[in-house]
Amino acid sequence: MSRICLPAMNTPALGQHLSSQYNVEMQEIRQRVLAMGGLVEQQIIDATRALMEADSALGAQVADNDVRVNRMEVLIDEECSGILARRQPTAGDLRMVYAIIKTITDLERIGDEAEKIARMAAGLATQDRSGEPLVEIGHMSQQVSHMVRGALDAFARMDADAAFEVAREDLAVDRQYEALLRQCITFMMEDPRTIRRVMDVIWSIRALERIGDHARNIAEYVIYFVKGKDVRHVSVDEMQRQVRNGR
Amino acid sequence: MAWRAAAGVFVGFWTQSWSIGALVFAALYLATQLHSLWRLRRWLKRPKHVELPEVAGLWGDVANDLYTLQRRNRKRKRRLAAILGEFRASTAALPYGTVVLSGRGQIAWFNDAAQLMLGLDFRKDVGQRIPNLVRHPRFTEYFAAEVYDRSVEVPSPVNANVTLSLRVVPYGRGQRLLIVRDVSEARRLHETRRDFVANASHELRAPLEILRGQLGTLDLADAPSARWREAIVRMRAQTARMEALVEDMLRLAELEAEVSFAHQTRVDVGELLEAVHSAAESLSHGTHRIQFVVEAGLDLLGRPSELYSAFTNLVGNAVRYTPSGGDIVVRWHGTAQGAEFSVRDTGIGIAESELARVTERFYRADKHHMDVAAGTGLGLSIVRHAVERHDGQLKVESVVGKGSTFTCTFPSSRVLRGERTLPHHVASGAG
Repeated sequence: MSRICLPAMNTPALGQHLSSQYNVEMQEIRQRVLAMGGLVEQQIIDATRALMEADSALGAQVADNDVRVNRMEVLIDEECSGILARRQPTAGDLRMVYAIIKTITDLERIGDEAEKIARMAAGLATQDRSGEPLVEIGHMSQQVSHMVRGALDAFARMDADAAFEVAREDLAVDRQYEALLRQCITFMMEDPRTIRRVMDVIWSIRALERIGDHARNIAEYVIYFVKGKDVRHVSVDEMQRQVRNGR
Repeated sequence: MAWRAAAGVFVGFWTQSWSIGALVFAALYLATQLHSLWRLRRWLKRPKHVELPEVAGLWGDVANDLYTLQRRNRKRKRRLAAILGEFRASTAALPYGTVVLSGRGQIAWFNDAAQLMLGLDFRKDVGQRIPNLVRHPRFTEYFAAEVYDRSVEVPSPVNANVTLSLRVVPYGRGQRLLIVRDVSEARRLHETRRDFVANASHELRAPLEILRGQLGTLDLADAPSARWREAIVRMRAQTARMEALVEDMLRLAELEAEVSFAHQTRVDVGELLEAVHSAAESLSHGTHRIQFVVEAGLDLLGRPSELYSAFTNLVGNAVRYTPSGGDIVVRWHGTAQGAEFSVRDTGIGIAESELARVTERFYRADKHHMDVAAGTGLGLSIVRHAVERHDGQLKVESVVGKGSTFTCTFPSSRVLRGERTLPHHVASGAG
């Protein structure tokens, strides 16, 4: 009695096309998305460093760099429409193109949030910096960078389990955001003269929190591509069920 | 053979028809051949589980040949596997991370060190393109440019506190090797030293200023004796020298800091050299013939303060080390590769054995002239760093007793000509 092996269902293999040119095109686009992601990762790190070290020159540089992020988004967008028109992808390929289009939108938004932080850093650098929860901001930014890196790694490897971990991390970031917000409110109540400055800080941590949300979105597109299941707007438990048993 | 023929003859005799006999013989023959073929096929499919069929005739020969061929192949495979295993074991033992990349940069194999430093995963990442996982913009650019004559430093994707030096080595047909080294320790050491120099120099400034101030208030005419007067004059000279030293050390520490694309502008070299010229004239007091040959409209992209200190240091050295009456020629002109700044003097020159060392800090080619040439010993280090930060190179040619020529070459990517339309704040996209 011979054993019959079926190919794993629902896990689209990368690089399985009759036309090798098509294959190369898809791989190139993926690589470009990840290059854009790498730039965005660096933007977050630089923007927070500018904020922490009161480096207005670095802040200005990050703000200038956002143009490159935007340019990359437009470029990849055009390539995706080219693929849709010429190759008319179906099934896994269609999901891939769809996931790419969604992912670059979120990456571009992350870039915008980093730019916001950088501009804030450039402004804050000239003011008195006592009483800012800098250590906490640093911690939060590390966690958010980790999420973005995890989301992009999951995208590179098309790894649904890793993507789920990223989505779960977003809960921790949200909790941290709440705690920081409360701390900032206390600062303002204790000394109303700090309100203006603390408001800027709040905008920065709000931007970080938004970056976390965008990273979670990217993770959701990865799960969508691998499992073919839409896990937007569902609880983390439900998402876990979809990822683990969704075969 | 015999029994099939006999069966054919028997059937032919029995049915009185030789054609049926022949048919029976042919059918039997075909059946045995097919049976042999089937056994051979069964053995070929699973040679380890089924015994080699012992068949007679042609099929037997084929089976034997196949068996020999298979044994030879198996032996060759074992030998190759052993070589490959040895190669992998030796590469795995290297302290450097090594990643073998195929055609379009897909990961084919990597060793333990690379796995650790880059966070790769054997189960998931073989076949993955390396820039998809090492996404730092510096590496992405380096990898895409396909010019691998240097290495790039990026933070490790696993731990941002670890700095990795990555270098791609092309080999074979379209294959590439990625070598990964952990340079965090060296980098930290370098940074610590730089910070120490910067901090120490900064701390020395204040006491020096007080010393100079106090010495300044002493009136030489009030000095009780000639010995006092001489001491005060000497102390004044030495504090001035120490201050110059501290300033140079601070500048050097600044130049060694990380290169950033911020604060780069289009530098009007002609205008810059006018300032250098007047500084040189005042240092020389008219004792040298100083000539400036400057190509108009040839500008550099960079930081004006660094270029100014590089150029004044070179011209100042020429003035200091050239006896009065000597000639100094300063040139700034475009070349096929970019642009060149050179200072030629008819000074004391530098011995060939010392040429390589003159740009080291505190190194003085001529130890006897310590007092005559009141430099700090840091001048050429500053020049070298400033020029290298503008992607340039410093070259020295010299003949003892005849004079020296210092040349700074800048690549064309740094050179700007014609209309000055570039905005003052250069977008960092230029990098």
